[in-house]
Amino acid sequence: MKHRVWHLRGGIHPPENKLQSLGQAIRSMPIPRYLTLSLEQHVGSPSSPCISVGERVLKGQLIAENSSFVSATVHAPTSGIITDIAPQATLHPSGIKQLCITIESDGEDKWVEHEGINLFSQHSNKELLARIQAAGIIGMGGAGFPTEIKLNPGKANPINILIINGMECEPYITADDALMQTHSADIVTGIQICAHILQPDKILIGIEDNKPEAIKAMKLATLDTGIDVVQIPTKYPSGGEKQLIKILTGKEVPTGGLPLQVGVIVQNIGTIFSIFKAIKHGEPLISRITTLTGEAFRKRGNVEVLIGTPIKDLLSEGQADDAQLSRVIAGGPMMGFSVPAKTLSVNKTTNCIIAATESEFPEPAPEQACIRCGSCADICPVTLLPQQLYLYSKSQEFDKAEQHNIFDCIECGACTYVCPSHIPLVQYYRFAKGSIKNQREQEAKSEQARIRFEARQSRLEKDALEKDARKKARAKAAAEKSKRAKEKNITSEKNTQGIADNEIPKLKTAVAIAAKQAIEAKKALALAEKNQTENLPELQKQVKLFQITAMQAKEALKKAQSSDSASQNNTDENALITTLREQSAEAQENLKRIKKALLTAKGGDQITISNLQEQLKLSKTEANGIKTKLRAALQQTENSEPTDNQAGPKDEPPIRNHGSTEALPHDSELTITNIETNPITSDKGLS
Amino acid sequence: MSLINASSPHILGSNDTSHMMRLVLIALLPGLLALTFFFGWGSLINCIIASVVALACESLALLLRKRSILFYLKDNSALVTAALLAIALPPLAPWWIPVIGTAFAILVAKHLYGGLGGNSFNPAMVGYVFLLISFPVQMTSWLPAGSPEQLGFLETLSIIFNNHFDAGTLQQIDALSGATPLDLVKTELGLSKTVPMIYAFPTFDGLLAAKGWEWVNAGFLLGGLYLIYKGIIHWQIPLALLLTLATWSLLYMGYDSDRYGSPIFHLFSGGTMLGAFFIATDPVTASTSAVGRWIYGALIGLTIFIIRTFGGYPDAVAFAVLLMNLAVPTIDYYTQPRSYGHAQAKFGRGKRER
Repeated sequence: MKHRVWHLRGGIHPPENKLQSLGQAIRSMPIPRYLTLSLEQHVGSPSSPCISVGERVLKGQLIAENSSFVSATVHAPTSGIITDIAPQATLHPSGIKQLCITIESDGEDKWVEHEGINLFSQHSNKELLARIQAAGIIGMGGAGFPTEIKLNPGKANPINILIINGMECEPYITADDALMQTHSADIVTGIQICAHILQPDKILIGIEDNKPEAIKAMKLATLDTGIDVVQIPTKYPSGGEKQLIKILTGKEVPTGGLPLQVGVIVQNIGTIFSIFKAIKHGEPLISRITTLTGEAFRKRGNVEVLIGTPIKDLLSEGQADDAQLSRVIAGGPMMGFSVPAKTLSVNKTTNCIIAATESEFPEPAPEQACIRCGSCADICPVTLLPQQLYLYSKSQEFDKAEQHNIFDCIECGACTYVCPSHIPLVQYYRFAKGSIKNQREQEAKSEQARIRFEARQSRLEKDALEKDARKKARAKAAAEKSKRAKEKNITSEKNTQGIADNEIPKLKTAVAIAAKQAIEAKKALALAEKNQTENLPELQKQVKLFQITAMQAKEALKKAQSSDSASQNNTDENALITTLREQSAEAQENLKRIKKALLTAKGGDQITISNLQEQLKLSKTEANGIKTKLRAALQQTENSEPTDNQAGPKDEPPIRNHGSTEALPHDSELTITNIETNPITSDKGLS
Repeated sequence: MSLINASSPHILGSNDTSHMMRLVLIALLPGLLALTFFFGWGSLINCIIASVVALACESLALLLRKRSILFYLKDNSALVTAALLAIALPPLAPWWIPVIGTAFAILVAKHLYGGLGGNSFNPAMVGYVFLLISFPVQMTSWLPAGSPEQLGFLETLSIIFNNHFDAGTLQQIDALSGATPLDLVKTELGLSKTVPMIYAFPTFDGLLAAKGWEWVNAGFLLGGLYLIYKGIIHWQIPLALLLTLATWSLLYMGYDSDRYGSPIFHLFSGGTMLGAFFIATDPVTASTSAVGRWIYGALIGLTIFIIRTFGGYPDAVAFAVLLMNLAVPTIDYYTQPRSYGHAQAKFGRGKRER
């Protein structure tokens, strides 16, 4: 039954130039003296070296192991000595430096012990996948994605169709073609291994009709295997993974998605062959078939190349004419990249080396203006509007470029190929994509910084609130304690009644008055906060009353001090101390309020401020007076009944002297900023 | 020898803008030949004058814009503009008509907008409309097709270069020139004649439509088909334009054949074919998506019909094309195709939406 072939929109027919490298058997080449293996030639995290410099390794020996789930192992392609493990420029479009292992071959090419399995169908998926993973196999069509991960899509993604990509749609390249012609049976075994793992309903091999020999060989090898060889009209880029899926299934891989989302897995011919070698012979991926072609080569053809072979060894293998050579391309002429230095080494995805002459790949003509002819849109295999993408990329209107699906561009280069104005369109798209990615990274970074900043702010606010709550709780606890002390006093009063008949009522009165004054002062101050200027005389009155209270308290204290019997005065003194403490706390609070009022009055007129400042001073004096009394009372009782409560807030400076209101120096120069920045300034004025 | 470091792709096709423009010029030849055959040497002389002026203006603009003159002159786009404008002019228009028109087209409509690829309006049509509005008399004096007393090359030349200074030539022109068939229909319909009556005039002595004009249009149709065959222009715009024009004229003819011309008359009169294959398809100013081309072509066809039938001007290709040039950004915005892997096209959706 002939499998249906869907139509792929667009595409081009560049000169194929495949015959130059076909027609001969795949040849092997002498073992190069030095081999340099990048540890980052695959998609995923770099593999980590498991040998050290100076160590002797055998062919096929593991030299770098997986560093994470998505990673690939690296093996010594021949036996020799490890001479270097260091970052080096690698065969990568950017020429980026990657960690590399360099091996000096000993020429013996001695294998490490290895063993394949004969009947793979008797082994579990897990074991087969483990072997594939241990062999360091990655997608050899160019992507370099670790194969065992691709072959393990999970139960949630059943695979209906396994597609083997034998399209090789890029001009010049014939590596897969040659492999299919010469190793068709092995490839079929490799396919069967994959099929055993994936259990697909259908297996298709897609081959372009410009490879009649390969089609013939594969058809012969797949007889009675249930594998369908599908001949597909030659068109570039039909061999792109997504394009091939469309051609063979009619389905489209969702944008940004994976083929397994449409129940398809695509494997490259080279990868299949490596799987075969890994399972059947236990050989890791240490070599691949690479096409040597281009006019500068005198001896073109397909060569089995050890991974890590320097380009210059390949150039000499193909007898490249150095005088003619103008450009070396790794990959095909449409999507390959130019090799900046001959010292770089072949990696697992290098399917072709083109040594081109100037006449073969001439310098492109200068870029002309885009006339929006739409030739690019006609051939775009992804149905983009390349002319619009160019416009937006050039003018850096990246949001519009994204709206025109720039990230769906597969950079096949067909648009550049057909552009009559010789505009290097793909380069513009790469620029736009890179810029958008950079922009996104920047945005993500600043977003992260913002989140961090906000988190810090909220943490600080929370801390402040907690601090405040703790303060309030402490104040409440203190108030309750004093209340309890009062109650205690009442009971103890009953016991000591008659002993200190004269003293207690007097002190009690003083306490009551002081408390009342304190409350009144508080109220007045609250009012003052509201209407800063109007209640000033009243406030002054309040302050005076407050002073009277202080005097009374003082009197009471003196009386208490003059008392003969310490035991007799004990309870009274306790009560007195409690009261004084309360007064002290109240006075402190008043002080704070006035300070606050002063601060809020910043914008107000100068008179208000100076008045408030005066009040502040007065209140301070008051508070200090109470404190001193409290301290004296405490000293008095220290011997008979030590208390755990220390008088007054600790941060208050010690008071050496307290004078009357009249004696206070009027510090009119006291400024608000002084209060703000240095709360002690006013205290200095007092002392 | 150091290796060249270049970005992929490393091979390029043979497409070339200069070559495309050259093919457009070649495709204009059948129509131009028909014009010359039926209306004398005038159009050819106009073409030469316009081409010289176009190259001079292009060079001047490139010089002022500090661009490489030779490199950009080679793209042949100035010559295409000049040819399109000259073909649209009356054959006996005085020499300064193509000079002013071409200079305006190249300097204002093309280079003030950023040169080739940057202009929103078709330069040739901007030049034409500029002339039509500024010099309506000179722009509407056409010769009757295939008149027996056809002027020789030198005679034509002398009329073109002298007509404003010589009363004799002026008289000669007056005697020679008249309205175009489209103009005639408009005028006579205004005089409450019916279409069949007008068709009986000697002007409409042709096989399908007006004498001479049908052949001119056939020539441009031939050239246009050649361009489509060569892949230089897309077929959607001309097809949509002609279909729409034919459909609407058919509908109106069916409604009242006394007052509305036939589809054949519309398709083969005036600048229909030139407009459909050479002017509406100017890639710079046309819609760029496949669906957009259909809409763009159809809207031009409709506008041509409306202006011809109900408007004040006898022909309408220039106005229709310029009006629809204005609509191109909007059409393009709403006709973005569905890309691979997308459930639906993104047209009309917000920029940020994905």
